[in-house]
Amino acid sequence: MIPQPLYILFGAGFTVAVSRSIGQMVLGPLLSKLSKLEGAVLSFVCGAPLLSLLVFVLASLRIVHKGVLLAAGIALLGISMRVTSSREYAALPRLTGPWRWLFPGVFLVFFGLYLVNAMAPEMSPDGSTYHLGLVSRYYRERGFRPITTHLYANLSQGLEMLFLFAWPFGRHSAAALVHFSFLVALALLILCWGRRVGHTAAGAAAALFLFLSPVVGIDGSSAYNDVGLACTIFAVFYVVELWKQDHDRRWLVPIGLLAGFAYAVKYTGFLAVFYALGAVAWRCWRRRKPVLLPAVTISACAALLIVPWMVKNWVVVRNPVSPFFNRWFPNPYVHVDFEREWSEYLRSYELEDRSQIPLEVTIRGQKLAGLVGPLFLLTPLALLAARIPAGRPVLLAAVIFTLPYPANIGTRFLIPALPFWSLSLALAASLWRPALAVLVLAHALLSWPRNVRRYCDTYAWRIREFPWKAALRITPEELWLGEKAPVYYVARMIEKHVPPGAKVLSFQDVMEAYTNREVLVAYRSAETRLLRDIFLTPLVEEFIPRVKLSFHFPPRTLRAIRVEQMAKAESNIWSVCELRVFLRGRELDRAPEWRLRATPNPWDVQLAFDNSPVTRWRSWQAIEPGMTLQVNFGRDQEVDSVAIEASDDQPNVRLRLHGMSPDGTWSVLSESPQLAGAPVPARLRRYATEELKLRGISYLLIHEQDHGASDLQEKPAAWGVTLIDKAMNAALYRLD
Amino acid sequence: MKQHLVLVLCLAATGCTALPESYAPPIQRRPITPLDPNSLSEFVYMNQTNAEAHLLLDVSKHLEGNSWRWTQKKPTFRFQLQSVNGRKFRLDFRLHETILEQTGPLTITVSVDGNVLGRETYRNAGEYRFEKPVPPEWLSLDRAVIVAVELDKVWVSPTDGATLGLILTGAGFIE
Repeated sequence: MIPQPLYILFGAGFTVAVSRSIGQMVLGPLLSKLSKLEGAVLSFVCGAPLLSLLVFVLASLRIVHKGVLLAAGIALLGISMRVTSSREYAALPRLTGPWRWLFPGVFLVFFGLYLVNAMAPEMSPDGSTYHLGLVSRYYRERGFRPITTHLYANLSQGLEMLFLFAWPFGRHSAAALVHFSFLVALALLILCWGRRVGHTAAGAAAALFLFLSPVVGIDGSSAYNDVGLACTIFAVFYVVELWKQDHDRRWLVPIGLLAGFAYAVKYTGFLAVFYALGAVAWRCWRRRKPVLLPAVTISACAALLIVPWMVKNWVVVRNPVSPFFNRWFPNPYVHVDFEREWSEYLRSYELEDRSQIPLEVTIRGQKLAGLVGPLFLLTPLALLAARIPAGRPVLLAAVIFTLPYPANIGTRFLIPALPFWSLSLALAASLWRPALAVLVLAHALLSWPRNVRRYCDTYAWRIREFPWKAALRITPEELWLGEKAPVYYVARMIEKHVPPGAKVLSFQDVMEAYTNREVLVAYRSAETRLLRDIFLTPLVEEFIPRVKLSFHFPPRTLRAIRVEQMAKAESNIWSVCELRVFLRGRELDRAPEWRLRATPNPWDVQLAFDNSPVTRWRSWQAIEPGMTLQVNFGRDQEVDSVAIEASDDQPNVRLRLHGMSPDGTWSVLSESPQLAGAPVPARLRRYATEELKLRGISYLLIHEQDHGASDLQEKPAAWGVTLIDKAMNAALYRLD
Repeated sequence: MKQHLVLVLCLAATGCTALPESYAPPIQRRPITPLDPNSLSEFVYMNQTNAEAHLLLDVSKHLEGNSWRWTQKKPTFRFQLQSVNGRKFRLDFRLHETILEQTGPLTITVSVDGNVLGRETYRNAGEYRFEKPVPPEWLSLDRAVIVAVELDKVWVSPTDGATLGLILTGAGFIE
């Protein structure tokens, strides 16, 4: 039997080799302008976008089988071997002086540390939940099925397509190793850049500045995508610099592909397209050369990598850039207020003060999830790189790729700009050469896991050990994961008890990469937020429909009625549990010819007309004048009152009622409703369970800290649920 | 200029999303009555509140591990169906390693209202699901449907003569 580590290494190695073979075909004769190391690294990085695109196509066709991937990979390797002949390589200055041993020595020590961590069972927070959770699902389902309940499935997933290529062979750790390959490639590219521009020592130092940084190490050895993005962006910069040297138009194709891939890896990579276009256009304009053709070439190649993700999102969730810009692209899958809340959180991470950021991202590392290392407290000195001609484009790129950072102040969102800051800092330090080696050694000491723990916060996200036994699977995967990430047992509990096809509703992330069952996490979509709202209604006083708003008016024959909301307040969301229409005290039956409308959130309007006390139509965005709820009777209908049953968590809402007469004219029927209390419906818990079941939920996963955990535990009969099992601090309930 | 205009129009077009016009009233939810412990379901898990109402013969009244019950030679159930078309009978169970070592391969025969639905033999311990479509003419909405699962052999305790068969977690009809 072949040991598991060999499968893991094969999965990652095969992916890297196929990427490289594609890259060799893309670069073709251009390879002779590169050194051997440059050629090898750039081939891998330039081939990755097209391999990613190929897997995207296979996933769209739903033919992602192990055999298909293997055959495609072998075919590409074969073609590459036939079309690429042996060639001469350009020579670059070699490392000299102490750097001949300092760079490889330090690099290899950390390389070993990261390699072992990447090979150990994947347990990173995002990697084991959604990055690989989705990859696992795509492989299980042989490709893309429409997923509308998972906002992360709507993000561009260019790197995940490479993970998917490696997955059938080496599963989780193979994916992490693919990402690690980008980390190695990035460090080597920085080194090559230094050698190419004649700043060999600065290049070596910068490569180590980046490579040794604690957050880069943990991110790059996990199934994340930040380092992959950083590598792709730096490759864009690199190839643009190569183009600047000889203006060979053939460079424009890899520039475009890489820039497009930056977007495909992560939305924030879109800047790479503008950077590439701007840099090339500026240069052409300065040289009085035509701008249009290079710009079109770059744009077309970039579009090849960008458009598929936009089209996928357009088709599946009606928003090409989901989960963002939902006001521009209204859709039933992501709420406007969720986007606002989420964006606000990402801009603040609940830090009391933005002045905390420098220390958080360099030394503490807990609140912003990772630390780049104390070395980067010297970043302001990087501005001195402007004194060196080669430093100016680097500094410019550093500034440009830091621009998206305020939108998400997590430490790892600095990683895309970090190669440029590292280079700038190294170039600045090279003005006093001995400083470079001192800084590298100090950075190495300060970045070694045992030393990091001496100064960082206890729970800072970082590499903590050298788990070689786990990497080689001498320590079994289950044992390692159970010890290091006990939430793994929650995923296994789900796998054990939930039958295939059944859906689990959870209020917290689960290690989805370790279960084949579908777990719907409450915050991730409009649909799952609605499920959460239903579940919480019996538990949260303010959610219970205990308010009745009645509009009374003399009997009128009407075609339609419309309730209009007139106030504006950031803190309120308008909601209606039930809207009922009356004549002489009797409620009118909701006839099939009635037509219901709502603005905004038209898709949920039926929730205000379903007779359920636990569902409600909500605007799901802050109230503003002009929001409406409308019933068209489909015929002339005599009416004398309209009642709204609602929760009392919307004190600022102001309503009035309009009616449409048979001739089609609208008039105000009542300027304000009478407010009264409404009896609280009985058995709300059971209503909630039934409603969840109607919406396809069969199980609830409740963590101890979740709202309602104790209520479920104490009143399972009232809910109509049965406790199936417990793992860690989570309980799995079946809806009976 | 013309090219720019086309570009602007293309971009503007992507910003247009057709919102749904209107919807008909949905199916109205009915008031919920408390679950009757004697009421019959279409499918029952062994730890469900009303599980015992479904058990007619040879299934332990004692719930083990909060999720399963032992069966004996011929566990028999009753279910009340809401529809008869496109239904499958499903049995979720485990086979205990020690028991299987004693008895050898175990064959179960499932009958629905006296009609033999299927027969399966299990040679290894583990979790199993028996699932087979049931002809609608075998089913009825007017009365409870009786399902019997006959085991060709059971383990007999040498000390007290108690018999043990399947470790049953759920049984009933599904879509």
